[in-house]
Amino acid sequence: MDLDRQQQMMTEFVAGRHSLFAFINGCVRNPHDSEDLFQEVWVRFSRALAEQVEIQDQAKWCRGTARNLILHYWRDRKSELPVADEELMDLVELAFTEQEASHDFWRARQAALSECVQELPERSQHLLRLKYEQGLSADAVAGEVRQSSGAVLMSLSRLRRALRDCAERKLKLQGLHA
Amino acid sequence: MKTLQELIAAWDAGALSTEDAAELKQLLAQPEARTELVGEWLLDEAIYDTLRSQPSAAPVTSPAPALQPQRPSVRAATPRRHRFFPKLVWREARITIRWPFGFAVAAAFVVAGVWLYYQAAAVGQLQEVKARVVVERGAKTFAAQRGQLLYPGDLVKVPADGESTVAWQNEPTRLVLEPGAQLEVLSPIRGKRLWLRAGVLQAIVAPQPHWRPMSLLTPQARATVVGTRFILAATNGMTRLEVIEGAVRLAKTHLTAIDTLAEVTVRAGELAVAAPNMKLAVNAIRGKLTADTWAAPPGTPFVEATTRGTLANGNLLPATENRITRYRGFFTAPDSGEFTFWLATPSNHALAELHLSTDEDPAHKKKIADVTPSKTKGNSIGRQPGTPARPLLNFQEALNQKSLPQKLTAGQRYYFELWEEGVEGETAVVGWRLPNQPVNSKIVPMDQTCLSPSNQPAGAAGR
Repeated sequence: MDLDRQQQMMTEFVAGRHSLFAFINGCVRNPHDSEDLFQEVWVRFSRALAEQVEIQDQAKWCRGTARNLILHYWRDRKSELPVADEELMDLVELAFTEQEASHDFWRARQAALSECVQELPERSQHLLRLKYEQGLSADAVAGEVRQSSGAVLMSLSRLRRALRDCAERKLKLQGLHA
Repeated sequence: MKTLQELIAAWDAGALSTEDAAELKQLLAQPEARTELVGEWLLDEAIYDTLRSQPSAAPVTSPAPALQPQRPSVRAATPRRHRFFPKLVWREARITIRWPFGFAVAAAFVVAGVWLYYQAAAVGQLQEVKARVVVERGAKTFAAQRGQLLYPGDLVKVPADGESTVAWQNEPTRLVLEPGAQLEVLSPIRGKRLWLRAGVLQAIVAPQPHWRPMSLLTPQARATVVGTRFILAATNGMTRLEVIEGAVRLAKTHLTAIDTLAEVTVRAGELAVAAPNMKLAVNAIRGKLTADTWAAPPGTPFVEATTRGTLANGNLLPATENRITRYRGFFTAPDSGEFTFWLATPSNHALAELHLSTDEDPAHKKKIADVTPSKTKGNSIGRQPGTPARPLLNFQEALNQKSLPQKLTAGQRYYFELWEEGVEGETAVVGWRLPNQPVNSKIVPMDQTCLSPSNQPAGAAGR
């Protein structure tokens, strides 16, 4: 594999990192562990490039690697994740593979969502940080913001819906649809 | 039946039951559900990515914190991680910097420890000390005593009338320092290392580890020894190495234009000389035989010396100890024809035997002459030490002193063996008559340049 091809594949990896991280984080549901697994995929991908491994489809290769890592992760925490199985994993992987065709749409949606998050009031952003950045459970977030768990879950649900609507509005303005 | 949102929320909360999982699989069989799942998870990712890329604002607290009890944060100790591919960098750094650095530090400690150990540990000791042997240690000079421990940097000086033996514990390695020898002990970190500044030493070196051979340095050369017996002499401007057993590598430390080799391997029966005006080369030792000495009870037959006696090579025997010596090597016939040999001891007081093989193989040897002192003349066995030996050689006192004619071929080597019994100072003499010489010609001592030592260890040439 020549250097140009390696460079191109690395660029593709960076471009597709949101989808890959979403896949990992969706399965693992812990941003810190997801970061670790994501980094491990990157390490393996870099090593494969350095060792001249022939990779036909970069996104598929990375997702396959992530899939194996997630399965290991699940097996290690079997007591915490009683439903971990390969069949569910296959369906999730299929879902992400199907969305590869709409790559440009999802990328635009990501950009729109980012803008929407930045437009949220500070208090809402703090709530989201506790949940999504620090990976706290609903109970832990409730403890931090001194509200009940139910109230926190309700707030988070509303925030998600508001963000989704905001992103759709922005996409409509750009003339993009799912 | 739960909606996809509810199932994802249950998964998120870690509360997805087996039934929920089955429902989720059923839902995900639909393409729309799969699209929705991807949308939800990409929304999570977008929130996470946006928040991570923004600086964290001051935490928003409730309006009356003082009135509410402080509740411990569940994840308060969890560090926040902001990184984009740093794991690779960290891993590379760990491999390229931390591990080699750790290994280097550990290796430095090990090397320093080994160096300190060898600097502080005794290298050897003086086993035998005759006359006033002195040891110079730094600025101090003191008379050596038997059992004197030697340390790196010590210089042993043997006077003109003295002798000393350097020995090592747990191995039979011995260095016999002859009169006038000066030997400096060097750090043994790479094996036993000694510097023969001047004089002659005889060495018996037990097998050394190949990675830590013994090295003997002289002003002109370096002899590397793995295990052998040899004689090393450092005289004015010249180093001479004679190997009796095993092999020694001799390297010339100051090469000159005439040299074509910087190092030679000297094997048993060979010698090499390192000198500025001589080309470094290996030559056969001429005029010498390999000697093996046993301390044995008086009257021990030669044939039983190897089993009843104690092999004393390299060890100093008390003067009163009865000894049996075997000289062995090769006789190279200078001419073709029938040779006749005679054997004699001083006044024929001591027992002696002469053996000759039909070829180089010791197994084909046979006794061709001997000296058996008669009872009337007395036997040297039991003679008091100090009694002067009478140097009277008579080759024709008895018939068995003369061999039958031995048909030999010029240039051919024949295994040659001479046995003698007696206290120190007795030496048997071999006389010969060359082919084609008149029968009544005078018996003369044989030319010793026809003899060369055996390269076999003492046990391999047993009777």
